[in-house]
Amino acid sequence: MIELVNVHFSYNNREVLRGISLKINDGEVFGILGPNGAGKSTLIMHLNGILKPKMGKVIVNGIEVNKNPKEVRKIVGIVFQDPNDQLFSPKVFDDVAFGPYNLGLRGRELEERVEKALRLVGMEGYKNRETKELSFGEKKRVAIATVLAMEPEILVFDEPFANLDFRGKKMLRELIEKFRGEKTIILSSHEAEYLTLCDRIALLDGGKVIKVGSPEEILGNADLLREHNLDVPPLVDLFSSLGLEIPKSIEEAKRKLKKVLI
Amino acid sequence: MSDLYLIFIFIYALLIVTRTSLVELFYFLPVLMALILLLKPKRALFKHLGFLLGFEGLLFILALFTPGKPVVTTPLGVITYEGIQRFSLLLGKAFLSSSAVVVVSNSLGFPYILAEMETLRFPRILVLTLAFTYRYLELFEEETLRMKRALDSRAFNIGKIEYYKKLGMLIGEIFARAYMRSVRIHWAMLSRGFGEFPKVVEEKRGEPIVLTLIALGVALL
Ligand SMILES: Nc1ncnc2c1ncn2[C@@H]1O[C@H](COP(=O)(O)OP(=O)(O)OP(=O)(O)O)[C@@H](O)[C@H]1O
Ligand SMILES: [Mg+2]
Repeated sequence: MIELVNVHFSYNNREVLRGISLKINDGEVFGILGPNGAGKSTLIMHLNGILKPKMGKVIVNGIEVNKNPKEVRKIVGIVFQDPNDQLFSPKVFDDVAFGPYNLGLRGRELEERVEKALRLVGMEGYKNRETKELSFGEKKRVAIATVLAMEPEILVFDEPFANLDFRGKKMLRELIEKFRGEKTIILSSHEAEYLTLCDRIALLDGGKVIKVGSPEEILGNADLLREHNLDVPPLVDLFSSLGLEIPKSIEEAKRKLKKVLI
Repeated sequence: MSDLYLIFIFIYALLIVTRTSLVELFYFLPVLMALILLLKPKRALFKHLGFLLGFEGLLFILALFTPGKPVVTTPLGVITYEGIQRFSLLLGKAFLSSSAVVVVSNSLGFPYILAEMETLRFPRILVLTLAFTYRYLELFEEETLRMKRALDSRAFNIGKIEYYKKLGMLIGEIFARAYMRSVRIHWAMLSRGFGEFPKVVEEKRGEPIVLTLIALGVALL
């Protein structure tokens, strides 16, 4: 379980997190929704002690992150927003291998782990490619693989859907479904439509948690979203105005609509 | 195997940084050539080395203006005979040592070299510096390209002088951006257990000689 208690943070005296308190349960798919500059990335970097709160604390599985970041980094894997920040090796294989290597894997075991991670993001043929020659979306997938390869208990994705094509988005949704219930998954986005698959969502704005609730409570509240400069996804608008539960995917929406219509 | 290369690099770099004349440096050129022939790096690496040379040249440019016998007068100041000598010596040392590191790490896989250095208990600051010089270079290259494209796509109807002025201003910005990015890359490395997780119990011998050599090298730098 992840617990944030009254977390404050500022960059050069400009406060960007102003007393964040949140509880994220084990096995939950948890969304962080907020407009540009809300503090989503800053908040995420507190989850494994990369940034340290100026006040308050972050607790992961009972461990206070500040006191033992080493332990926490084995549990929490973060995929950063910009893949250029994440990848630093000339070759794809080396970058994906970096984390598991640090965990002590060697030889065949290491290779298998890397291949498995690349397969999960649909990049199995890219092992020997040069990192800097990849397209942005390809880099993004490799960045996800670098974290999957460590098999952490808690997966954190900062804006994972941005810049992915249709297939990429589908791959990511399937990945989330694959790990649903088994791992804790945290996603951030400024686009509400990508968070329909969450169990719970926190709306963040101006460094504060505005509201935490189910997709119905957050995404279904069009006024709330517009008030915080967020788009209301058409599908969500439709379903919530009909008083129906918000579907987690287009397929589910089709099924539900058919049931109503036939 | 990679241990051997590491030890070689450090001895080689140590010898280079302690040279005091340009002539002595020339003897190291064949060593670098031999290394390149031995490791047969990809062609792309040479482009990289070219960029490295330019980057380091830029870094030491101030050395050209060392007081002494004037050679030419430029709008920026007087370039002197002593200055040219000092500049070439600095550049020679920096390029010869850093390109050896780049060649070796490119062929053996950079993360392994880093991890290896950690298990050999190389001083942490050295490992980090190496990691960053290497990555910084790439970032600098990427950022320069990106910003030059951005400039070119909007720089119509301005004169040559104006254009170069803008380009100069960009260079400062590029340094700042590449720095910010290298900070974030360090974060990403930390997130994936760099220097954090307990190492596997592969009892490595202390390599006292190497450690002493490195300590010496650091002191000299
Ligand atoms: N390194 C930094 N130095 C100073 N200020 C920063 C830095 N990084 C972020 N900020 C500021 O902190 C605030 C929150 O930034 P953050 O990146 O956490 O927002 P975000 O919600 O992730 O936004 P986005 O949707 O654009 O990714 C912004 O106002 C931003 O300008
Ligand atoms: Mg962000």
